[in-house]
Amino acid sequence: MRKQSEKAPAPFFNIGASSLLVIFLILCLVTFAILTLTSAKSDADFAEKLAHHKTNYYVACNTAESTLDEIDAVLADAWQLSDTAAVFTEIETQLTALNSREQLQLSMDFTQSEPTVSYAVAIDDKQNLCVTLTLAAAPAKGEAYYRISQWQVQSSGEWNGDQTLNLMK
Amino acid sequence: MKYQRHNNTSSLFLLELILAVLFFSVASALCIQIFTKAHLMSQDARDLNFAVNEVSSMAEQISAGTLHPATAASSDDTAASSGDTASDPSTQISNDAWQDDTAYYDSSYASCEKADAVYVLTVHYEPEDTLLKAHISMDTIADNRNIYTLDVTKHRQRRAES
Repeated sequence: MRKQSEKAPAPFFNIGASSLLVIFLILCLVTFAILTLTSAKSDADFAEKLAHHKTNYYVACNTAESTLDEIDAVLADAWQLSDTAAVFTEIETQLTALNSREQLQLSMDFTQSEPTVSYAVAIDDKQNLCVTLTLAAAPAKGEAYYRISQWQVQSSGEWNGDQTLNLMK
Repeated sequence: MKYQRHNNTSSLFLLELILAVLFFSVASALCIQIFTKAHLMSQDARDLNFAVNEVSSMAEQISAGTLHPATAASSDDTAASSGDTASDPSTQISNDAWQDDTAYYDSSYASCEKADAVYVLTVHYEPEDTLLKAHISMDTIADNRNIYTLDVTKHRQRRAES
C-alpha cells in the first residue's frame, strides 16, 4: 500500500501522446486541404462552363448576324425593283433560293400584312438562338428593310414531366 | 537502475518526438502544395470570371451598336444599350474610324492607367462592307497570357435609297 503511494506521478506527455497529437493535426490538415481543393475545383469548373457557354452563344450570334446580312442583301436587291407589287414575290423567291443554297432553315410567312422571316441557329444540343425579322411593307428613304422582332435563346429539348423514382414500396 | 530506466524512457520519448516532427513536416509539405494548388486554381477561376464578364460586356455593346470607336474600350461602364436598330450609330461610322482600342485593369479588377495595369482588354476591329467584325481578348500583362477571347460579328443594316 505504501509502495503504491510512493510511485512517481505519470508525466503529462506520455510516450504516444505526441504521436496522437501529430496524427490529429495531420488529419485536420488533410481534411481542410481536401475541402479547399474541392471548393477551388468546383469554382474553376463553373467558370470554365460559363466561359464555354458564352463562347457558344456568341458563335451562334455571329452565324445569325451573317445570315441576317445575307437576308438584308436579298431585301436590298428586291427593293431595287420598280414594280413594288412584285417585291415580296421576288423576296420570297430569292430567300427560298438562298435557303436551299446555304441550308439556313428559314421559315417565311408572307400571308400577313407585315411579312416575317424566321430562322434558328443551334447554340448547343439543348439551346437554339431563334431570330424573327419583320419586313418593312414600304421602307421610306433612309429606313431599314426589316426590324428584328425576336432574338431569343430557346430550349430545343423536350420537357419530360414523367420523372418517377423507384421508391421503396 | 532507476536512473537507467528513466534514461531509456527519455530516449524513447525523444525518438518518438523526432519521428513525429519528421512525419508532420512531410505531411505539412504535401498539404501546403495542395493549398497552393487550390489558391492558384481559385485565382484562375476569378480571372476567367472577370475576363468573361468584361469581354462579353464589350461584345454586347458592339452587337447593340452602342459603341463608338472613339470611346470604345474606355466607355464600357457608361455606354447605354438602347437595342434600337433604327438608331444604330455603327451604320453611320466609316470603316476607317474603327481603330483598335485597349482598356487596362489593376489587380483588383478596377480600371486604371497603363503603368499600374495587370490585365489588358484589347478590341481589334475588322470592318467589312456591311459586317463589323471584332476580336476581343483579355490578357495578363506580366506574362502575356490570354485569359479569354471572343469574336463578334455585327451586321450593319442597309438603308432604303429611295
